[in-house]
Amino acid sequence: MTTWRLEWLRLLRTRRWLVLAGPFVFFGMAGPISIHYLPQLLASEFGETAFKLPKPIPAQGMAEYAEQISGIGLIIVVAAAAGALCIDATPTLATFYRTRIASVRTLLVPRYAVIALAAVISFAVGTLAAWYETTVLLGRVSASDVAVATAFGGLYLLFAVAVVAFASSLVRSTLATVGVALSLLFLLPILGIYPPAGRVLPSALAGAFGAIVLGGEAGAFLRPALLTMVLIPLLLALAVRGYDRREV
Amino acid sequence: MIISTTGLTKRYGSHVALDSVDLSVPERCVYGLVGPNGAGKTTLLSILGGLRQPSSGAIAFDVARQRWAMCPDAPTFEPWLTASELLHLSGSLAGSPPTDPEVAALLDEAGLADAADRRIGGFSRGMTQRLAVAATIVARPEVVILDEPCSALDPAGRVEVLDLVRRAGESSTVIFSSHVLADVQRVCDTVGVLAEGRLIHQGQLQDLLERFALPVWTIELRRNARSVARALAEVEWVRESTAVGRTTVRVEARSADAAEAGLAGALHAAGARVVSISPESPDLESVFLAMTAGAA
Repeated sequence: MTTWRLEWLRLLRTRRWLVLAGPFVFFGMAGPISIHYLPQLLASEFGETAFKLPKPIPAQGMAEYAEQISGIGLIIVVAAAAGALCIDATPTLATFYRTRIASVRTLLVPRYAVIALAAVISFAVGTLAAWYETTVLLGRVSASDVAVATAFGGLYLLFAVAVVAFASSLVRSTLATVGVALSLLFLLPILGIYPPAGRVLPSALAGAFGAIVLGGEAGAFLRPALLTMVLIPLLLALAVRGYDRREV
Repeated sequence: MIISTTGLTKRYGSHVALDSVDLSVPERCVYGLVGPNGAGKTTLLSILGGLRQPSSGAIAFDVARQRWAMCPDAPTFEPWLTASELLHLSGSLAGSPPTDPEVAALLDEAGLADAADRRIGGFSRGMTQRLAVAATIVARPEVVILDEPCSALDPAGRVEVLDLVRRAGESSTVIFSSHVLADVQRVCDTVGVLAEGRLIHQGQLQDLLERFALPVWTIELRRNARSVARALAEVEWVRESTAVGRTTVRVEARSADAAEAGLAGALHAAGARVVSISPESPDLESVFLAMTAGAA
């Protein structure tokens, strides 16, 4: 039984895969539907003559999905990741692991990889669902745009899970880890208000999906993507260092 | 010594949990760490296990880090793993993956053969504790640290775990803490007594028991225990002589030497018809109480 198999079993047997994939697929299906049927929904609520909406463009279906997952989706990923990454949340369980390994790296790397990959796959599956629904209900959206947007969105999720790993090395409980991680993730866009920072910070990737499917330039997100790829291993290294120095 | 500490001290704010502990654990012994609640046993074992850092002092291990394993008090495991998977995981993490037959044999020894493929989440506390001991020794570590491994067990489970501990002691050095002193006396050959964070005694269990041995004998007679007790009470080296029922006399001497030289003669002089004479041996519990009372 390797630590990789352990994490695979954790993902399956704790139903974390369902917790992650379920909401993404739901929003992927619901986003384009809500855009398509928005006029009917408003008419049933406020009457036929209250609103006159223009016909939605296909990209709006994808953008609606992006809108919904950027908040709730991120919180779900952070919560699911914290459940897997908080090694010291239960001291007696931590004792079992920590007295058998030389460094927490042995545990943290597979935990990070499996839960982060599950989050990215869930996001990709949700995107596929949104793309299918959009194509059926609203019209075609560029496959290459969706692929590039998904790549940037997936990279942001990898970063978010790395932030959770780092947060779990600062505090012990799962709830506190979720709080610290979300605070850090929501603090970055505030820093991004300062324009030079906003163009390079990983938080820029949070809006990449919606911007690209609505016709934005993908090249604008290359610099934050590069910085994010540097920050992910750095955050994991800091997490390992924090864990190795911490008493159980 | 496979493990030794020098001046090991642990402070939590102003509270001194361990006070300059000089522990010496010989190789291939079963070392019993005893002490009342709050004496510092778990803190000491946690420091030895690498889970906590000492405030000051030094620890010397004569064994590689991956060759020792620790079982905490009240262990918990991933509830979604099976018992068999846990032992495989434990061995793999320690760098010594066990084979399926080895895992099956160990689960059998721990009395968990029927639960091998059951998820740990459904285990009772006693089953979890037995599994924890099995998971600790599965990789055949050179040093095994067990913190109160019998604390949640019924008598049958206790015997099984003590058996596991005894067997582990045949190939490993075992450090075993308990406040059930009968358990310690049953499996340990070396003991350390902690009181209020200080190690007030360590050494061979037998030496400790002999040091605290009382010069007391129980004499079984055919009859007339009361008259023999009265006669013995007049002997110079007898501190106290009491009849217990009609056929038993309990004699406490002023010194063991005097009693060993004169008891047979004194009984003969008293006209006693002796069935048996046996020295009273102290148990660890009475020794422990005497020592910790002195420390307090």
